[in-house]
Amino acid sequence: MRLIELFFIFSFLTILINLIKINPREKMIINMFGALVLIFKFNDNVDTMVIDIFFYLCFLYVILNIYTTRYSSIRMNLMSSMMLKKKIMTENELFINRMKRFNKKNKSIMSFNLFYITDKLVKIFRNLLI
Amino acid sequence: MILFLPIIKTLLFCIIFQSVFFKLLKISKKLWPHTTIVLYIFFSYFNYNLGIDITEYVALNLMVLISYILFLTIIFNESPSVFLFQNIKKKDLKKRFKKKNFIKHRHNLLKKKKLITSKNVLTKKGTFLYKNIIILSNLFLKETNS
Repeated sequence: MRLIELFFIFSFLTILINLIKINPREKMIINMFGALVLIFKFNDNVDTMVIDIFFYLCFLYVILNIYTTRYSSIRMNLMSSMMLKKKIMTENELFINRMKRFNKKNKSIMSFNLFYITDKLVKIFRNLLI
Repeated sequence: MILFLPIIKTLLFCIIFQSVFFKLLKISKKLWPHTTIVLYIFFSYFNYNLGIDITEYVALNLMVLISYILFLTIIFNESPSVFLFQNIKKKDLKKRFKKKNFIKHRHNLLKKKKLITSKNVLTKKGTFLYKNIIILSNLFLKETNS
């Protein structure tokens, strides 16, 4: 039951932090800090601490996926255009939009550093699976 | 480590068997979500031992499986951003990017998964999915100005 309780604690923490009017990157940093403080404070055993950190990282990855799906997924963009009866994005517009992410001034979650880490993992898994 | 090791073993077995299925046995890559779920459930059952609390084992496995499936979508569906990142130094980048037809591919996927109709109207399933993602994002992580 401990991990289920932890899931609700992490969810509650994330919902509370989401209410603060700051950018998503800062919300994630506060979230990580808060969750790690909770994990270290309420664990006196290395085994459970490792499990809790691993569980939290998976939770964080799911939350990040919800965010990226809403603000970056092509499918969500297409569905939004259809729902609001707007013009559908072209390949050219998509190219321009995605290139902006590699601008060094880009301070959003979807920045160069995120893709740098993702790229390494993607290469390994592509070699293994495709 | 009693709970952590079976999870790592399950994940490793799953990756190894998926590699064998897709690379050696040439099983259709369209089946990646099905093979992932079946293999993961099979190996998590196989690696379970009675010393582990069942609720903790199920909760952790569920979280790992969801994260793993979300990660594999980047591998099998190809992300435009990752494609750009990998080819950023190439000369004809825009041409290569357009050739990938990301929008057309995703549009076809929406139709195939019955999220939209042939007349580009959202189905009930599509509307449900769309609204749920908006709700979840508003709840957990949203842009400040939205």
